[in-house]
Amino acid sequence: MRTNISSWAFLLFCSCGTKEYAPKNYVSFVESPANGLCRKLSISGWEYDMQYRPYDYTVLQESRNGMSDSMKKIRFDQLKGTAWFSIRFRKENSDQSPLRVGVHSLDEYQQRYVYYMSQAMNDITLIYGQDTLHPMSYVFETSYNVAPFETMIVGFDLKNGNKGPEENMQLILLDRVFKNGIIKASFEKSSLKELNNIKVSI
Amino acid sequence: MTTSRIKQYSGFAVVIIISILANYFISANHDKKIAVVDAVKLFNGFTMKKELEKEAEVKLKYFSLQVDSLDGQIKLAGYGKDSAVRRSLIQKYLITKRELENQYNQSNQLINEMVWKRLNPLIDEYGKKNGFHLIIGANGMGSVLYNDNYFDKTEEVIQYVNKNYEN
Repeated sequence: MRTNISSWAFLLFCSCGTKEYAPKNYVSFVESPANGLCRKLSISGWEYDMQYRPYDYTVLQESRNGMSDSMKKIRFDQLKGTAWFSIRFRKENSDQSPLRVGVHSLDEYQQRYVYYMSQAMNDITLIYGQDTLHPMSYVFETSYNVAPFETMIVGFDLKNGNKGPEENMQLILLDRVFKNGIIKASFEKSSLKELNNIKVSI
Repeated sequence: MTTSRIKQYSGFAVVIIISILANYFISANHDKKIAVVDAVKLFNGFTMKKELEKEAEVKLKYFSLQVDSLDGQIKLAGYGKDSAVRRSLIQKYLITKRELENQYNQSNQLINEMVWKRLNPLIDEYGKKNGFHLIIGANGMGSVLYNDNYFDKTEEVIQYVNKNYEN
């Protein structure tokens, strides 16, 4: 009887710490700067949104147009042991794509485009705990000048087996193009821990 | 009350009013906060500057090693008879050395630009947050001829910009 009471108490204690969110609310939680998973930085007239992308968040985004359960499982397995971020940048008070801001020739535009397509990943690093990691994957999601921002998605192999991120992280970007120097965004492990207490139905 | 007494009292009143006014203006001037910041110390103490230099060093070291290697080859070729080989090495050496100098200058210019582009708004922010009316940048070029520690906020500003940089 005593064991039964203590196990019930344990279950009650565990369930008290867990919150269940609807997909829309979960996305809002992850994207809110107040929760420490999205850092919005304003530097010399430029805005940088550095967003940590938890596995649930990534799969939710990818399955917006429908995805089978088996495919979702495959994606979760692929994401294990990695950390993903998006870096969105835009010129403040501008309705142009950053690739076009201050550009005087087609050559200059193409240089920027090529840089973001194939070289920018060399200027991104992640400090994970005590380790400095370089990207294992990088995608430049250009807006083709339809939106006033551009987005880089970058992934890192945490080399910690199948675990997700558990340590403090600092995403570092060297902005050579707009000459804004080194841009850092820190993500505390306490924010990651809080995320573990949130369940979302995918 | 005699006329001389009245004159004496009014004299006192004027002195008191003047001293109150003087006191008010002196204290008002004290509220106008001024700071002096050693611009060179601030520039060198900014963590981003150190990290950018470290990053540039890798590229510069590559050119520097090439220059050293060519220099060694020229010295070796000097002992042989083939002057055409030596001439070609000297030409390569001069081109690589010029490239190293260009890279060094470009990198210095870029670091300067990036660092000041970042520091200027941060100094503004520091001034506003701490209620300064004026922050003077001392750079050893004669704009500030003397400055004791009273107005010197260099260390405080370095701490502020570095904390902000680390996010």
